[in-house]
Amino acid sequence: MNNKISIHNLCLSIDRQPILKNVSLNIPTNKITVILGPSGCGKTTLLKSLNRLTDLIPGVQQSGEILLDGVNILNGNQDLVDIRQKMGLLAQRPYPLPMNIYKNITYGLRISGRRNRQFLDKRVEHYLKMVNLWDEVKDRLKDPASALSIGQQQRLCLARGLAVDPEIILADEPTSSLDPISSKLIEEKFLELKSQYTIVLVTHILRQARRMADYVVFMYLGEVIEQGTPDELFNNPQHPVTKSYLSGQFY
Amino acid sequence: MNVYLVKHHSLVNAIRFVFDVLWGVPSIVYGAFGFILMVFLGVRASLLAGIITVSLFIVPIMVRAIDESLKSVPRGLLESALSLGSTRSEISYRIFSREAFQGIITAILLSFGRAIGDAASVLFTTGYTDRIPTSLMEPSATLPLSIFFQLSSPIEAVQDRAYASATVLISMVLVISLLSRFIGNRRN
Repeated sequence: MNNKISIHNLCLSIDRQPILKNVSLNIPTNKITVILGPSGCGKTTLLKSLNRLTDLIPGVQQSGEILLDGVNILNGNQDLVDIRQKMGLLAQRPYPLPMNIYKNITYGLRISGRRNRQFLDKRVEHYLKMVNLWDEVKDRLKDPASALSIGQQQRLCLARGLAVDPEIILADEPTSSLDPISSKLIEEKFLELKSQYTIVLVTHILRQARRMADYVVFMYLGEVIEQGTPDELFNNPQHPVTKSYLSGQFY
Repeated sequence: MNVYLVKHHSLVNAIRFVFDVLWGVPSIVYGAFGFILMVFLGVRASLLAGIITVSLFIVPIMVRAIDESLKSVPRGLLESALSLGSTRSEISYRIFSREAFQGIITAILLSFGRAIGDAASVLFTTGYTDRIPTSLMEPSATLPLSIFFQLSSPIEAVQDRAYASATVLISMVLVISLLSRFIGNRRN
């Protein structure tokens, strides 16, 4: 299996409180890797350390290696903008930019210097169609993005992330604030998109993990307890903590 | 500050504290400070000295009020924008300034209102005159000071002028606050 990202001995602490302890894992290319675990186990922190949003946390200390295509991104002299452009982030709640729908999609392209009107028009249409939003908003592209419903906003955020041509999609419980129908749309999109993108999905919803995963990582209290294919992990868990989590003894 | 120094919490808090203290200093102290500065530089009471003093006096107000409105921008928006590959200056100018636009306008008008109505800080520094100044180095009359001096005059016609000044002052403040509401509503 080809690995897009491999993490070796990643430790992260905030104000000397360890959050991630010696995390080592591989994220395969063009697959959906699900990071599963109860809340507060460090899933989100792990995800954010992938595109170095953890740099924003006060009092943070990191050690270990995160290799993206074989290059360590925790190394100080990396171009952060470059790294972040390779990874689209879909957060728990949609955060549309304070501008209209059209500009939300083209923002990432415009800041990287692509301003050709026709090119942008095409991109907007293409990515909005990709997330099934085009028919709903094609007549009001100039409306503020905040006027959309939450489900639509989340799809807009996905389209916005895809428009900058990332290689990886980082999704942090992307369906947690959505209604079932919007959730289903996002999940279906992910299954379609995995042929082109490497997807890392953080979730605490067991059923979602079963539906989506090609590779599962189970975390508990900042440690990776177990990782493997869904078949291995769900049907034949090795570790007692994994077993009790899967059987619903704690969330 | 809210974009660039997110990581340095204690530094940001220290800066906020300094500006809070400066906000709390009574304007007469700024006036006295400006006066000492003028004596030191050998400048007479003048429009320029007044401008500098009032600027010193409203900067902390403006900075903290703008800071408050920027602080309310959700963290996730910063993270999303960074994930799209924007640099911090792009985020400051294109996203934070828009998201907090209304708050920023309010902050500017708030400090403007404070500046226009403040008498104490300009008492020593701008001086008072009945004439319209023709250069920055001449003394000039601010509206609150002209109310103060003209009202203490025994001549009734001059007292009337004080009431006129007061009317002008009040209407300016009114126009400013209406303007800020208008701008705020239009953005929504």
